[in-house]
Amino acid sequence: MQANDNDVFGAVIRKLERLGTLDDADRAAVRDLPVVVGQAGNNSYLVRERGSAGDCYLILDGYVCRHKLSSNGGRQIVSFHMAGDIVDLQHLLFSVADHNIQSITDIRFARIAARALRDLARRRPMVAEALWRDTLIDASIYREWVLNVGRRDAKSRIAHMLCEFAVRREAAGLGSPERFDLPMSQEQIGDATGLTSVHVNRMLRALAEEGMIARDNRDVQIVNWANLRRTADFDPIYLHAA
Amino acid sequence: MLTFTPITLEANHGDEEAVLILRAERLVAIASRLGEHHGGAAGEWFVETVFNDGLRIAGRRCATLEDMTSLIELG
Repeated sequence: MQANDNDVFGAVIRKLERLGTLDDADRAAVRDLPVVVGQAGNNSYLVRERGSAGDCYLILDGYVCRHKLSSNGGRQIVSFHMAGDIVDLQHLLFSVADHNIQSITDIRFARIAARALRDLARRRPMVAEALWRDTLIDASIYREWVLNVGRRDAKSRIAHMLCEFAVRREAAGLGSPERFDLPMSQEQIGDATGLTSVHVNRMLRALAEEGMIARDNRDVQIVNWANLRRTADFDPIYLHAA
Repeated sequence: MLTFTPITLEANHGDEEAVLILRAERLVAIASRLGEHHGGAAGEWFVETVFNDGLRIAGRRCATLEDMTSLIELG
């Protein structure tokens, strides 16, 4: 489906304006981008490792993850992404994907040709700066995730993931940080935190028993934000207000 | 030949029933039995830890201790 609808360009512009200051000419140039809207079911691959990558994807609805696979089949999820995120800006400059991007819910996305986005960035410096800032924030989040998986205990890792999800969700305008449906399965949370689904289940239960969260299946309510944040060792500075 | 010695874990997550898994009086692994709060996995045996790095079964689950024996023997 060719998309000329305002909601797609509005989503791109809102994303860029969270990252930098655009003027009218920048916004007009964004609206000239060739964008194709698509949708995919849960567990669909947008990008496969070692595949050629000529497009960039903006998520309009739903959630995706980036992940890599070890030679023994183990999966490490390296990030989760939500509506408003452009998930593969590296493909502006790299033509081969070095990781997988897979949906964890049904999704709707806008596909933008990497060449068109690259040309836009060359013509419009403030757009280029916003995109650059987005990749820097990605790198900052990766650094925090390395710390989370490498040096925090199981309960802190899960608490940290919940804190980050809540804060990013609110920043993206997706609703309250205090109550949400968690889109990830316990297995996916385990793959993101280096834990088994058994440990994830135990830690979610512990967080609930200690009064930090309340949950009913995937419905999560943060009951005691201060304690959850303390347990998580969570300092949102690394998100740079993303 | 593996033997399973029942023990109780001092765990605060509810999965207290466990076994020491031994071979010739040497400790190979510890497995716990998953409680009702694990939903569909309740009742299964979960490998909590393994003491031989070459045996990559930590975190695996088995329906019975017979299955656990097969898992360990096959590595």
